Amino acid sequence: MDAVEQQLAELAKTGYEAGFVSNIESETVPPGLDESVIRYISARKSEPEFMLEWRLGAYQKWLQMEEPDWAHLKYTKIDYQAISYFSAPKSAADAPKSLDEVDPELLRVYEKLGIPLEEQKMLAGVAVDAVFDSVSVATTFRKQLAEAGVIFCSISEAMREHPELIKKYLGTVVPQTDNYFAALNAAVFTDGTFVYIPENTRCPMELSTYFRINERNTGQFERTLIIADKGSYVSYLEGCTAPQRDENQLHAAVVELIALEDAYIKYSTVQNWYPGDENGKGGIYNFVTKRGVCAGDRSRISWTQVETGSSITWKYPSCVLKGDDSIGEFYSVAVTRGAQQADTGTKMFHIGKNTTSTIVSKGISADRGQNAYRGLVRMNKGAENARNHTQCDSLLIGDKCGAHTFPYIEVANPTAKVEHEATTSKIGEDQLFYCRQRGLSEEDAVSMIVNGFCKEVFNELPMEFAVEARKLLAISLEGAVG
Amino acid sequence: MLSIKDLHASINGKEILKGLSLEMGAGEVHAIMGPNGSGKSTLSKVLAGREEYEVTSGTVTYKGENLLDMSPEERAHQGIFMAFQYPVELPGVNNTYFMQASLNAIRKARGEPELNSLNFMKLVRTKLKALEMNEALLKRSVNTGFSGGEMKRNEILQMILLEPSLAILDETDSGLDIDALKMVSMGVNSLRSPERSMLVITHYQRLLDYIQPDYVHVLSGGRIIRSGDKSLALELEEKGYGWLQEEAAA
Amino acid sequence: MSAALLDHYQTLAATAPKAHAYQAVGQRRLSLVELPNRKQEAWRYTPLAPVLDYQFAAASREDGLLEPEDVAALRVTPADHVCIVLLNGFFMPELSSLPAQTGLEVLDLEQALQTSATGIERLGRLSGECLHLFGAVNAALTGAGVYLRVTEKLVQPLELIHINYSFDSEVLSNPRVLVQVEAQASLTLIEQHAPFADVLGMHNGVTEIFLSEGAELLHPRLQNDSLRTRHLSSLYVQQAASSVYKNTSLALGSAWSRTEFHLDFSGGHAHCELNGFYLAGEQQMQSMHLDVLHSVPDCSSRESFKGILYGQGKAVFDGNILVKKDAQKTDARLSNDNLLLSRDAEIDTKPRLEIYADDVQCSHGTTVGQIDPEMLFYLRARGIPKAAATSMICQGFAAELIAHYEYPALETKALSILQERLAPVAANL
Repeated sequence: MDAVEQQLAELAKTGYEAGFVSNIESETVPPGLDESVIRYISARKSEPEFMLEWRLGAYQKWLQMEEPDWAHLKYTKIDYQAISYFSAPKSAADAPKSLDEVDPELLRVYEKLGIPLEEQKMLAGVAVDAVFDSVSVATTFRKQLAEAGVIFCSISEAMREHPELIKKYLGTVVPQTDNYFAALNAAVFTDGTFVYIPENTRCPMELSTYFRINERNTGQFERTLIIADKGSYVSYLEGCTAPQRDENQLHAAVVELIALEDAYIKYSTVQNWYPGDENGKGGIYNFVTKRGVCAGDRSRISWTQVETGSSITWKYPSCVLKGDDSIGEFYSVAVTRGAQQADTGTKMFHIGKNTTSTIVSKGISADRGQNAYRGLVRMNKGAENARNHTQCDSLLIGDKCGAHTFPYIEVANPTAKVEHEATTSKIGEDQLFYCRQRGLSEEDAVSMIVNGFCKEVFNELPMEFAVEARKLLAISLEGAVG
Repeated sequence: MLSIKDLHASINGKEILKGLSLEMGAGEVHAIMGPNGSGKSTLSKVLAGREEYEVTSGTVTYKGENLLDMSPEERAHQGIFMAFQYPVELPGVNNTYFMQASLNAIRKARGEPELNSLNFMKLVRTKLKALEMNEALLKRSVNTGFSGGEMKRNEILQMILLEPSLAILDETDSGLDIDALKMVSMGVNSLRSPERSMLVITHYQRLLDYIQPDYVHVLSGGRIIRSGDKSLALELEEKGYGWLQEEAAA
Repeated sequence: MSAALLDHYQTLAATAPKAHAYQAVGQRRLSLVELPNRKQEAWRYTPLAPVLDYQFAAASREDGLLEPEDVAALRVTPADHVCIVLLNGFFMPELSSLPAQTGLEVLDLEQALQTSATGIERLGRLSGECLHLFGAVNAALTGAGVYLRVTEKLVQPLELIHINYSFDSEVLSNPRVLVQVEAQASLTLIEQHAPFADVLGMHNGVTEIFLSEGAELLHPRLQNDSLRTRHLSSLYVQQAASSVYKNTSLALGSAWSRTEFHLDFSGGHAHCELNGFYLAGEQQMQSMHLDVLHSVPDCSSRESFKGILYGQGKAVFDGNILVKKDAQKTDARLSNDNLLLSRDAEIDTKPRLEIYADDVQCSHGTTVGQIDPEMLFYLRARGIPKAAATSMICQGFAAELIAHYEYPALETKALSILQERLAPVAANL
């Protein structure tokens, strides 16, 4: 934790310190997308035949789909033929067995980012499946997890080692053709994480994957699949940062969560990708599809996200509440400043009886940032006694930003109960003055007030993440007031 | 300690303080009394550095330095504390965390070591006892959902923690029942010392039964129109402000 | 199918008598417009078959025949007050009572257009390029309707009654109501859509309201069309500085109903209140659409809508508040509360805020639920039978809104309609 704090402090001093390009030799296919690229990816990853078929099916459907335009976002059209769909660090080809075998250059990259694997091992007790570009190169804590029966590996590996699980679950929550970006992901995803928690098992540690985008012009198409079998529990952390670029970089990840009877999946994200320069140039385009299904009775899925990066964020982590008495949660902090734009929120589909969902969304806009909450709460006919409570609060800093709330509420069951509240405010002059009278600097006062505003969300984050998130928020808003 | 000379201040172009002068020595307690709209609250805000108020002329010297040049936080670092008439709510900001951040910011500015959470809690607990304050208030968000009495006690608690050189109490008695008033006064009196000055701003003389001032000043029309000792407050209680204003006008 | 319908309306437009240049705007729009469909955000959730499955014929002045006594039964204002009757959209002087009143001009829209009455040039300024097919049809057929101009503070309320009743079925009435309240003038305009016969027709009305500086308009509305009628009301309001507009709209009747509120402020310190209540039972569809634009600083608006749904009733609430960049100190609060009484009822609601200014106070709140069992129990514990208790709770829920009418005779009328509709529902719960 100390190391993280120190890193963040340095980050604060130097601006976007993470913006560097690492020199690892990479193997990259030329830009462009057609069937041969997909065949190459599938072959390169030694996938079973059914996966190639699945990818090609997705690609065909994608070709017929149109890029959605309903979000409150403005950006230059993405040229999908200008993106390179595969790149692998060379040293990954012969899969390192331990950290010692990992390219020392790669390890230095992590250190520069403040996430030294070895230290992390000791300090946080967190297993790390680090994704450098598109191929997993290091996995730790394997043994301890294996003893518990937990499978935590790259999704490529899972396809080879556990095809029955992949076949059974992949694409069941986010179908190949769910939306434009999900279809693209299904066709070309190069790697990601696979987690399986066996019945009645509490995962012995928090699982974490750090994403990096590193290769020039390389879209990141991660795919994550987490299955929590009956009565199990897992907490999964996802954190991101990316090197500085001139071109816009597309990121279209898909995350699928499946919680069986009495299982609980907690999924936390801190997203701090490069937001671009003051005009948004060079920032990451983040079009993500995240969805979980509470398949079993009394299951629970909880999404927590802190979104401070990217120039464009399009993201709606959702819950399908199928099982009776299942619970869906969404806690979100989204910060937009400079020219950043975020259109983010959640969907809660209540299908089972006595299902409950909670939505807490805190949007902060500064400079010219545009922040939209978009959410759907659907109470199906059979959702007896289902409950939803939604709280959407927006904080505006400066008079050039925007805060928008677009909730959709559909109720088809009279016993269901939905409550939605939204407020908009700014940091009050009197609040600032009160803090300053007590000796706090304006910067610290803003940070304190904003962190107070986000408290309900930060409370949901695991300890280390919460510390990081608070610092990140402070850094993100530096110089926003005044 | 504090020397105000011919102070003129206005807000939104409207002049509120019109040539106010006041001298305060170390260890003295001064009470400022006056009818509504006389400029009492403006004076406290100008001393604390609220930026909306524009000082158009005059000087304020504090411990030999030009107070008007300092930012609100610098003033706090130099030992000025204002108990707000309307303490501000900070939703989601933990009260203990806030007070610790405040104390440490001031300690840091003075080159003193910061207190860690453990030591800070020890300190707060000893101060709390004296005020008979409910410890639950520490766990809540700053002033959020506090009753009027709770807010004022919270202000006094902060004052006792920060041990200011100059404490300004801006109508701290307003909206308090008699028990709360006694408690608040006890807190204030416990801080009285030869190094510490206090400026007690109040509309009623009731508070001065509990906090005995060395000097009483009457503020009217943005100026001090009469100064005296404790007996002046009693006289005002009896006769109201009218006769003084008439005298001043004449 | 859709081409045939568009053809039909284009033909109607082309053959309509020419009364005003604005008709060309509607005609042009008709040649470009898409049929409303659920993929369009403005029509999301709205079932459209009830209005798109018919080729309604344009109403004519000769369509219906009514006696003044028929109207008397519908009125809520005393006989000596001004009462304007629009039959199938057309102004009927013989059915109206038009005592002269200083400070008030009442003109048949057609006549106002012909004589170029003062202020008539504003026609079409707010409805502009027409938002959809029906707006375009109304514009293209401009002619029917009434023009009101108020130049003083009027004490007596004015009543406006819309009756859709024709010898033929499937008739479309297209009235346009233009209201101009001049500076510092004020008016109470009571508007009723009254059922007369159970005919399948469609009301497609557009109202444009201009409030000059300091003007005030109290606008209670009661839509109680027959249960086979389709109803579309598009209201456009523009408020100049320091003006006040209070609208309370009840949608109780019709098979398919949509009320659109388009409101904009052009000067500071103006205030607007939109209150609405909808009752969707049997197979009714009720929808309310709000488009409140705060484009200047220092204005406030309150939007408060409630609905009760039963049977296979369906309701849509779509409320948007947009605060533009310069509209600092805007204060806008929107609420939408819904009570679901049956298994098959459905509500879709989307309260939206779009904010581009920082020094604002904006909020919205929405609830959907059934009758609070605690509340029901409390009443029953006091000896009130379940049906009566249910009915009482529903009435209470609605009464809060109906009280905004500020006109007792209309309140009484609305409450009795509600009582009549809800009593059998409550008895069967």
